[in-house]
Amino acid sequence: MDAVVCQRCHTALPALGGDEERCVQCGAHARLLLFPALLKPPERGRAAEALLVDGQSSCFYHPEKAAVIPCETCGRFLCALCDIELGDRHVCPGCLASDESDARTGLDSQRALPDAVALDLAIVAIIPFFWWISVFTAPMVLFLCVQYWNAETSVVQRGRWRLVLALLIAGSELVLIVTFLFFLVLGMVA
Amino acid sequence: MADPIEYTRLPGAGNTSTDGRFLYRHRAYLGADHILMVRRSRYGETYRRLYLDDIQSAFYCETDDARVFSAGTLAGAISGAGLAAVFAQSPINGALVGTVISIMGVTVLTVAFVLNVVQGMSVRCWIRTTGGETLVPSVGRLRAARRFITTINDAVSMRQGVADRDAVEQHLAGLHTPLSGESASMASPPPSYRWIWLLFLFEAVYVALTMAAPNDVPPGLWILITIVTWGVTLMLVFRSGNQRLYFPYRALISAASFYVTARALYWALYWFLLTMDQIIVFEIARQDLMLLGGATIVANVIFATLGFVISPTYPKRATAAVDPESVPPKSDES
Repeated sequence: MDAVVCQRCHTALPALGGDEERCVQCGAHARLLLFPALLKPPERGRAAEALLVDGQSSCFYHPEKAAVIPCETCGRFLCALCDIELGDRHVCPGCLASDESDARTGLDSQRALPDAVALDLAIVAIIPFFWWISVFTAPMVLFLCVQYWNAETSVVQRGRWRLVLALLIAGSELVLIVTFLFFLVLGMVA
Repeated sequence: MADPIEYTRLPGAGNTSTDGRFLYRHRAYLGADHILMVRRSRYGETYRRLYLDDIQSAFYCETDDARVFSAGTLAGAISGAGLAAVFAQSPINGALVGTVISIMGVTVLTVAFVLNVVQGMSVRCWIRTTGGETLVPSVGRLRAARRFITTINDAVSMRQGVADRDAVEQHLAGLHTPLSGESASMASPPPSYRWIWLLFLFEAVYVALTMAAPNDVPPGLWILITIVTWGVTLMLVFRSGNQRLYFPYRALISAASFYVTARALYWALYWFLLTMDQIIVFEIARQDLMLLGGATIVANVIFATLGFVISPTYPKRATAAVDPESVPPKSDES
């Protein structure tokens, strides 16, 4: 572990006692917390055991090694070397690397936010001189709202108010377009 | 599909712009066994998880960022107020537009200054795990950092227990010798931009020449000098972002950037009004030219002098220290 350095004067700070303290050089506030994991030696990987008897289940990735557990995502048998523990779950390296399993293992690294796209598409048509693009954007917004109404957009809690607002705006735009077309056709007929 | 995890939002929210094009919003959340760091752009989110069992240490320290921002916005507001006063007394056409725009700029800068002061001191916060050190961008202010660290302390202590103080000190002593009171050495000294500040003097000389003979000096040269000064100042701003510079120098760079930007905006407005046939170049009253020119010369000389004097000059790589005992005493031949 490197020396902890003050971010104002770049002086090395003395070992902080867990409470907030001031830098002796410049008086900047600083606090350092140390946890028992610092003292824990790095974990060593488990070695896989070789097959002992014929007919014993073998690892999908290492056929000469004995299987100890199945992958909870794809069901393949895994040896001790291939078994990856994610909290209480056990998965194989293939599932860990694949994007499809991210949602199942709860380890997504990124997600799109279609509700924000729908809201922006709905709002852009309100801007003066851009109202005509609502002919294209309003149906797109309706599609996005229906498609992603029940979808999980964010890992953290995120309300549906954007979709509701986009739906209201796009609905109003569609009503206005239909009314405009109705009176236009009516005028032409008359 | 995995069951959704219940998250509690941790104190703090911050914005960053990693590549100068996108503005990201950062938040941190506490789950049952991990901290989730969320970087949110407008249409997507990226996640990073720090497991409570792996967290070795958490640290925050106050920085100068808020002070530099305050100094910059205050300098900008003061110079904007001066510009508004000059416009208000000027008889030229379009002076009213200049006054209104200056007052709007002063208002924005003043609001930014007040909000920054109200938010309090700026900090940086790190969490160290077995995988390395991670900056927590959502924690940028001291008040949020205090609450964040307290929450993290409770959550991690529930999983890991409390560290034995003696064992930790013994462990640290084995890794490095205490450095309290010593200056941290820099890996490589950054380049010094001391001479660049003298560019401000060139402009001062040009303005003085213009004031002496308004019709003999080409106005296009001033635009060129302004563009060069602006570019150099912006370069100083961007290059200083990743360097360890002390507060007065960073504050000066911030103030200079506001000054040069305000002046560039003023000239952009001037040429816009010119093309709109609102003013004619040499219609400017003699007293306006003297006032504006005099203020520009004074400001440029101040920036050039201050920048040159307080620019960090780093020593060349230190040579090996000479042990005084190993040097043979001079022979007393005289």
